[in-house]
Amino acid sequence: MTQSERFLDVKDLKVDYMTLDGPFRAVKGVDLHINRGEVLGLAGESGCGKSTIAYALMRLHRPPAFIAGGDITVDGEDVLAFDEETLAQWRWSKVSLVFQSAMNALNPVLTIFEQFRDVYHRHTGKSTAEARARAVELMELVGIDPVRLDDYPHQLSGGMRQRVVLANALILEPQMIIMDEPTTALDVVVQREILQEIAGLQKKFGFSILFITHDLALMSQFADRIAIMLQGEIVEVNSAHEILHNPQHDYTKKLWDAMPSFEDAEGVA
Amino acid sequence: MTDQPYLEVKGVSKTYTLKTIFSGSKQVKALQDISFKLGRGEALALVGESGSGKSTCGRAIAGMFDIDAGDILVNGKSITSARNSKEKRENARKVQMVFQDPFASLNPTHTVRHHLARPLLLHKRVPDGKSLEQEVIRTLEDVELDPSVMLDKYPHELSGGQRQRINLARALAVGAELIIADEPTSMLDVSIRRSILNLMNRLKKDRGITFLYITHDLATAHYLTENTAVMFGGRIVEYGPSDAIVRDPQHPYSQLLLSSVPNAHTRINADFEHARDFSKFADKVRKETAESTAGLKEIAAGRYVRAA
Repeated sequence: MTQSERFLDVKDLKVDYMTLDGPFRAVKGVDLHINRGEVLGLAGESGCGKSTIAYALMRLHRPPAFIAGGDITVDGEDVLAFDEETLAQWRWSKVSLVFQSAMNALNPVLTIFEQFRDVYHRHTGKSTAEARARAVELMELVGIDPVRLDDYPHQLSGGMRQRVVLANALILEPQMIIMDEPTTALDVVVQREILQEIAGLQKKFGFSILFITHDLALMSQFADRIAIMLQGEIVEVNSAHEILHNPQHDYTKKLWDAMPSFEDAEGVA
Repeated sequence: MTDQPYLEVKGVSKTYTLKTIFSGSKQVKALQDISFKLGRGEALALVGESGSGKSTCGRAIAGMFDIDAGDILVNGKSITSARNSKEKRENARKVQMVFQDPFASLNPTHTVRHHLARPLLLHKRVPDGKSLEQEVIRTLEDVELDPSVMLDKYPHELSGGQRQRINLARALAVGAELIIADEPTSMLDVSIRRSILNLMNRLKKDRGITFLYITHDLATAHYLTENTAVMFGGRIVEYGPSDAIVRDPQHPYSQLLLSSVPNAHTRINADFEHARDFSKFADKVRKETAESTAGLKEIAAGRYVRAA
């Protein structure tokens, strides 16, 4: 870490979902921070609230979900105080989001270029020609031949689609990217390619990353710090090294134990 | 391996013809000359990326479609020669599948009881209603679920792991001898993957169930199986003891696959150029593997590699 200044600061964040039985608290007073240029991993199993946090940071929740309390400060600004128009401009230019399923994140009836153009035009008001130039630049950046800009999402492989989504998240040079299971739906080799790509881009541009996954091994290869989440609460935060070599919380240990690794021979008859 | 393997796949090929509206038809060689043997109570992993043909191979063995060439023998008898519905049903009973998505493979409108009772009735495994209930309870106990809580639950009330146990129970209920498990753990949380693998391991050891385990995860393959076949482009590129393949993969594609498995102890190289180099290397290996026409060669006892 070159700077220790906090880019993202979350204090006592609470997110509720309204249910027939009253509010269900999915995120129970979470504190976390991400420094500039830092990669923070957020790990936990399905339903623990990790994606809910990602949505809350971007203020994407719609009823029945709502933020019940807490503070979110990004680059010194109070995100929860933004009005709709400020929020719309702020999203994507300051903080962007990469979802798990690249197919669902892309509009199937628009070409790759049209998806780039939409975001670019909405935020910068620049011409189609300028958007084209930026899109070509980004495609080259993520290693896809720019001729594919005129293809539709279904004409690309899963790995390429995830690269396109990544390129799209970079279009306005955000200072932080939230990645919600960006590699989970991919094959191991493609997963590795995408992870390398993300790591390379992060090093090149120095943005912060909130990296959400349930795969602790994958996360340890890449994150600076790791937060472990269980039932709406963060139970342990430490450097990736300490989480791997010196886990403190029982749940962290349990997560490690649950993963079969090559060292396990007990299962082989 | 016993003298007569439980499952023998001999030179199986399958080609799909894709007909699109706008362009002409295209041939996809989903399986090309696949051969392997699997002994009773043993497990074989079919490992490869999406589109490698591993699931097609599993479905062919389950008799879900007709193969173009070759033969599949279960317990010494060809499944392709089953003439009447009785023989076909008998094959279907012995060879059961467990699918990847535990949410999609159970009917949301029916209880656990229904899911287990129905195959028992279809395959006429029980003489009367009383023994049906007992059989359902026994099957649930086999997969380590508590019948008193589980019987009347609907799929949406169960966790992913519990649903996958129900899927295994459903296969066991009719007396499956070979279970084809197609990525049974890949949609489950990491924290419960191992428990499902352990259950499969116990079924294999204690009940002598034979497993064909289809996965892209070499680490779990190594955990469950004696042998592994690495597939790419509809062909087996490497076959051998799982242990040996994990320790010392020979084919460039197996090596690529293995080196891509997340390992917590190695930080990835975050250099921007390195990312591009890795992708180029991966593409080169895929291309060369796809284009190679070389046959499998035995390099050590029980180890076969396709020359690169």
